[in-house]
Amino acid sequence: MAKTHQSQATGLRASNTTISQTVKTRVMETKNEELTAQRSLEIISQTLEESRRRITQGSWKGMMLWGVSVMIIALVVGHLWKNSSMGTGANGLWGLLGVVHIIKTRYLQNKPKLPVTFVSKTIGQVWSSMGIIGGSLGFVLIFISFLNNTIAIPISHISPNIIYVYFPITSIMILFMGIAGMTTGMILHSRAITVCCYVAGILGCALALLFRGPYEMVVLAGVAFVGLVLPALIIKQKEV
Amino acid sequence: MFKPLNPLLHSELRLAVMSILIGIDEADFPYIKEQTGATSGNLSVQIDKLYSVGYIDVEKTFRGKRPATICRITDKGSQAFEEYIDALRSYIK
Repeated sequence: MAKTHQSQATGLRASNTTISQTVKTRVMETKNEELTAQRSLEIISQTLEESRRRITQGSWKGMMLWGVSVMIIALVVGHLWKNSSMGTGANGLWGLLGVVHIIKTRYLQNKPKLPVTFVSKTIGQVWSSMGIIGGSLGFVLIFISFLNNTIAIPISHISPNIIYVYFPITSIMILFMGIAGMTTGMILHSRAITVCCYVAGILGCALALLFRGPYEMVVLAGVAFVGLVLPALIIKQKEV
Repeated sequence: MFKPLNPLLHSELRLAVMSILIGIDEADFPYIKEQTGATSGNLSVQIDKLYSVGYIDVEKTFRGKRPATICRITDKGSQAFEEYIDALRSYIK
């Protein structure tokens, strides 16, 4: 008997919910008919603004993650390069950036996905292009260095002497980071990002040429701080 | 002279959905629901209406193991939205 009452009550509640949903829909339809031109414009501008705000919210997190990752790896690589038998081989640790990317992707897999905008897509493509060129350059140089152990690569056919080329990979990578960062700043209309990345790119590029060897990594860590961590902190500050 | 307003867009929720989709490549159902504050049922109905006239594309897919509904604005939808804004301007002037 009690069970019958319970099921009747549940049924009533369910039908009430359906009725209230129908009423809500009707109210919405009635509202639609009363929608004025002014209100339409309000809806459009409010929705666009809220959507823009929601999408840019937390955009500093990516910059912070990559900035801190590059800083830590650069300092570890620099330390091992100078103080261990690994020498330049310590640069292999840059592969850890790939691990960071995989962990980030796994972590974000179960989080609600933010929509892709033209701006976010363009910024992603700028940094991807930089990453692809930088990564490919690294592989090409590793290949050449292996080749160089057995075959001397002359740069001039006229000179009888074999001349080896010094390729300032760290300076070039810093320059790439500067260009990509400045482009990001300009797309986002952020003076902070643009200026920070300009300073980091130009100064870092010059310093990495001056301090060759393990100290290039200290310069790179500084560039990651000025060009990525600092702008991320500025953006975060503005959000609050 | 007032231009006629497209009745399919002249609705609070449908207009909000179109406004969200106009500035982005695609959005999933929970995002649109969160942005509009609408109920799932009502939002489904309005999305179906926009889909049936070809203003948006709806893709039912999976993200990992979870089902996901992805919405995208079509060229026809963008054009209709532009025309709606033009028509609104004539009312505001």
